[in-house]
Amino acid sequence: MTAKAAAESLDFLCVGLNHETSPLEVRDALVMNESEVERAIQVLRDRGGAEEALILSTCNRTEVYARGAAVSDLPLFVNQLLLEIKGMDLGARGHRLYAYREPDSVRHLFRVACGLNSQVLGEPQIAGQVKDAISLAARSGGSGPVTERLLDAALRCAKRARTETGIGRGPVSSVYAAVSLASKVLGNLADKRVLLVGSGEMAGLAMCHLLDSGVSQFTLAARNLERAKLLASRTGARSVSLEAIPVVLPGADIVVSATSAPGYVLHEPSVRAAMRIRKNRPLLLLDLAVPRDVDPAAGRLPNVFLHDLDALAGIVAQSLDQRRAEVPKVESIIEDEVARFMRWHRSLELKPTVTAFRSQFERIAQEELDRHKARFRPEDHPALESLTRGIVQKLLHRPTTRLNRAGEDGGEGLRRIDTVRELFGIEHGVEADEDRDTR
Amino acid sequence: MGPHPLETTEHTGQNTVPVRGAGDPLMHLLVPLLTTLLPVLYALSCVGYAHTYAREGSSGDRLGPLALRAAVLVHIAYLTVRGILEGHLPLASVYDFLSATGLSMAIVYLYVEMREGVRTTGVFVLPFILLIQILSSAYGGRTPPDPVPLRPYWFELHTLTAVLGYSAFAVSAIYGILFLCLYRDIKANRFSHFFRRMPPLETLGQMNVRAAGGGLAFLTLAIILGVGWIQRSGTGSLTDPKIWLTLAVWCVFAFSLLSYHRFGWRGPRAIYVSLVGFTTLLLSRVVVDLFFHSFHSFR
Repeated sequence: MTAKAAAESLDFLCVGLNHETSPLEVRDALVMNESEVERAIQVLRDRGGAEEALILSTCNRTEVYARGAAVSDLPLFVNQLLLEIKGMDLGARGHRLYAYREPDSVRHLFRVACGLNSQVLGEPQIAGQVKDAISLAARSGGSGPVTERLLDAALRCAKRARTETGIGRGPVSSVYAAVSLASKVLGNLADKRVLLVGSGEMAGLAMCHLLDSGVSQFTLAARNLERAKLLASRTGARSVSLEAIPVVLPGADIVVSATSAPGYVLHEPSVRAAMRIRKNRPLLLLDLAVPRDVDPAAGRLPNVFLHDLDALAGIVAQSLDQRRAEVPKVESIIEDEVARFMRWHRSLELKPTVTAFRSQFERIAQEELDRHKARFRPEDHPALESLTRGIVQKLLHRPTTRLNRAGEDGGEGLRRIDTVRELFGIEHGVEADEDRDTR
Repeated sequence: MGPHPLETTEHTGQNTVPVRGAGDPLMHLLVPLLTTLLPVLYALSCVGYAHTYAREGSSGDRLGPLALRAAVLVHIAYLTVRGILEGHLPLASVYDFLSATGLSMAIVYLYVEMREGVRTTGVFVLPFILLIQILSSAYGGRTPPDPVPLRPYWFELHTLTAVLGYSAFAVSAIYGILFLCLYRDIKANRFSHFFRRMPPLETLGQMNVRAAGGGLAFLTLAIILGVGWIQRSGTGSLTDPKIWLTLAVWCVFAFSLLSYHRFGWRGPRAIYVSLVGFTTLLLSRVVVDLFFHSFHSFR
């Protein structure tokens, strides 16, 4: 077996599907919970012969990573695995899985961890999901030296991407853009009071983002008071009816409105009156509703900042453009980390060869020493052993150093290893029997 | 001999301070060297702050802040050397006044930057300081310093506090203009590079108010010391137009701060009041110097 073939036998493979290759219903149907992942890893190890395996299963992707799998067609095997665990026959539905060999599989994982492969470019949650996947693999007995090293490399790569580039900069959702805008106008939001109008999903999402930004004082106004109370219970906020808005408006610094009302919920005269009571302190009106909740005339009042979904979409588009511009920098970091990982991985595969090479020399030296020892006086034996050992060490120093570095030299390095194996009769870390027999 | 500093023209019969450094080799070596070095350092800090502003997400660039700190230290060293050699505060000409204004603007800016942790506004302040220092370095050293009348230390303090006050108002005005630009951009949904690089609107408002507050404190001190000096020396006149305009400036800024802290004024209205104060200040310094005969001017 050549060094290249030996390296390929321990190849780290990736098979899977994601939001670019499969529709939502397929991805949804394939999302695995923890016990399903554990079961799948067990199957990969037991029936697939994989030395190490991990599964990344999120709403946007299901990917199987395996090292040393003893199956000839891993995509087919994964197909059967998914059929067995999730009951979905991808082949019958005409969906194909993508498959990557090293180093593309490593590159793919790093791209995923950096958020380049996400639906929202540069989103940060995926790095945490990769970390969770590797932890789960460790609990299921799927992890090993390579996956552990891979986790370090993937997380380092993601961290570098976030700190050295702008891939995670700027808001990429309307609600997050709204909160960012609030910070841009009012600075620190911790002491600001928020009036949330509406009790739907959008209002809940806005509340989550505002809580993350340090806001603690909420008032909820909604038509459905029961739902408003439920939402308000998360933060101990008080809830009022829509009719009470003019009463609570002067006390708010930020108003987030996201109702499904057909007309305006907040009218210019109410805002004007509130501003008088507020002594013209800035008021931010974030209208996240379609159709709009806030009368546009209110935005013309001094110190009133009115922004609707169109305006927020502008911020989101800008952020995405900026993130796209950062992709080449992230790719460069990924290439750097892939090369670093591959150097380590190759050196791991070369270790047995280097060990066998050295032990062969040391064994021959010992055999020759034993054969001729009798000719020398016993008191000279230590000096003789030292001399022999010294010669062997000196002879081996340069070749060992070069062999250890062979992994860094890619194909040329692997050819060098093959030459050494051939010259010295080493079979993937073990001396060939014929060579031992001839001596 | 050439012009004198903030001195009264009726200033006669007082002792004068000999220019100790006139023949000193240090004066011939160190002062010109520092005079040349200052614009270079301010230019470097301009480049650094411009880079910080231009590059998205680069709030950690060190060139600008480091160069500015170096410039401030060299500037202090320059004024100290000149002060030692000349025996009085180096405010002997309008160019000296400009140089001192540049230094105090830099100090006020650094104070606000450290307090608010905002570096992206430096690019809007530093070019003014650079321009002032270029003018001062280019034209200030052309004539050797004249002997000046002996002045009490509290008169020197008057000029120093006045310079600090004016500089703080200048920095406050720059922040005020930045506030108005950002306010308009946000109102009009223009989310440009300027929008992204500026600190929050409220922070800009606070920077404007804090700088104005510092300016008002220094100006108050300068007025008290100046009036005291007029009373003691019997020179000058309290009816001088510049004094009245300075009092008007004081009133406008006092009202501006009062409206912010007491009446809760925020936004453009508060900024416009402080800009009116700064405009009055410019009028008092420029127009009066050019069109009125005042005891209280550079010639």
